[in-house]
Amino acid sequence: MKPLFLRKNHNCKTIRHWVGDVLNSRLSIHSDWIRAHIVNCPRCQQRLTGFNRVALGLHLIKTQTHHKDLLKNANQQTLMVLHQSLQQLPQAQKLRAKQPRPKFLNRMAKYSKSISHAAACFAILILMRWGIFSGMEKFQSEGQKAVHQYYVNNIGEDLTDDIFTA
Amino acid sequence: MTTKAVSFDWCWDLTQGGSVATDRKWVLTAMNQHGVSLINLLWRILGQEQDVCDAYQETFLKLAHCQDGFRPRNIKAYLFRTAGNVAVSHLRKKKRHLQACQQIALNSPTNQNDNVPGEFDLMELQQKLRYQILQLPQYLRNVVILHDLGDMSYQQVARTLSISVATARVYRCRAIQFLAARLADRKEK
Repeated sequence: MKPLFLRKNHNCKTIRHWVGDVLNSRLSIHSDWIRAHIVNCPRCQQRLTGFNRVALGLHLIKTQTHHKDLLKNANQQTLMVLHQSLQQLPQAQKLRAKQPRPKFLNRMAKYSKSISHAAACFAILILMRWGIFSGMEKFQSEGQKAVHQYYVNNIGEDLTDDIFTA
Repeated sequence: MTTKAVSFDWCWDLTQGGSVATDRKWVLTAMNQHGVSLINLLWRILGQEQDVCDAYQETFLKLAHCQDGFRPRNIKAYLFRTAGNVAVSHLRKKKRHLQACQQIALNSPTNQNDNVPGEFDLMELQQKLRYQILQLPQYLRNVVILHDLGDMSYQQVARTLSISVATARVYRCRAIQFLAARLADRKEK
């Protein structure tokens, strides 16, 4: 059985259901069969416009900033109606003056490139150091073996052992 | 606001003993921990600073008085759900007020419509979207509010609403489809 998206008879209702997936990038709008249908179908165009409006509206709502003292004002207004003994706690005093601060990760985001570059350099250094030293050791032991074999072939094993153990 | 809280008799009795401070210190801790994210959520739903302050106050008063002053098991879930509900009721009241004002303006002889027809007003779009979120059924609205406006992951939404992650995803998808259909219809009219 052919996959759904390869069938020739895409009906309008199915594609209209997929418009959300298109906008969520699960399907590509560049696919010919989707584009060809949407260009000729007013209902799908309308649905696509609707999804775009929702996405834009949500984006606008999220990006609209409030005054930085809003948290402080809200805390002050709330603390006024809490019990008096709570209002006098040092924690309440802090809340009255509290202002939103970006999270640690967000604050460090501007240094993320530098940090990742430094980490990459450090990793390369460690790998180089480890690679060079292990290579040197290997080279040394292989050389020793070759020399040992040369002496064994020429002067005999007993004398070679005497030389190498001395 | 303060006056409203007093008139609803939500204030704690000032004659109670000093042990209240130690018993209910967790309210302040919750305010400290979740205050910023709650303000962001309320701001995105309401879009007016005074409304945000009122809804924030009401949310914490409800928290302080829930279950006769006992601490809820999941404070974050309680706060976010309460804040969402409080904000939605504020927005409903505001919408009714706005409709009444518009009705008065329509009836007045000096009414003039300054809006250019077909003008793409971003503020209007935001407001329309907010009012359309109000029209959603509650189970869909909760997911949109927590996921899209409260910046919660699907896992957190599922935990807050006591549903599965898959259900949260399905509800969110349905809600967006509903909103898209409504916003598309509105513009055509």
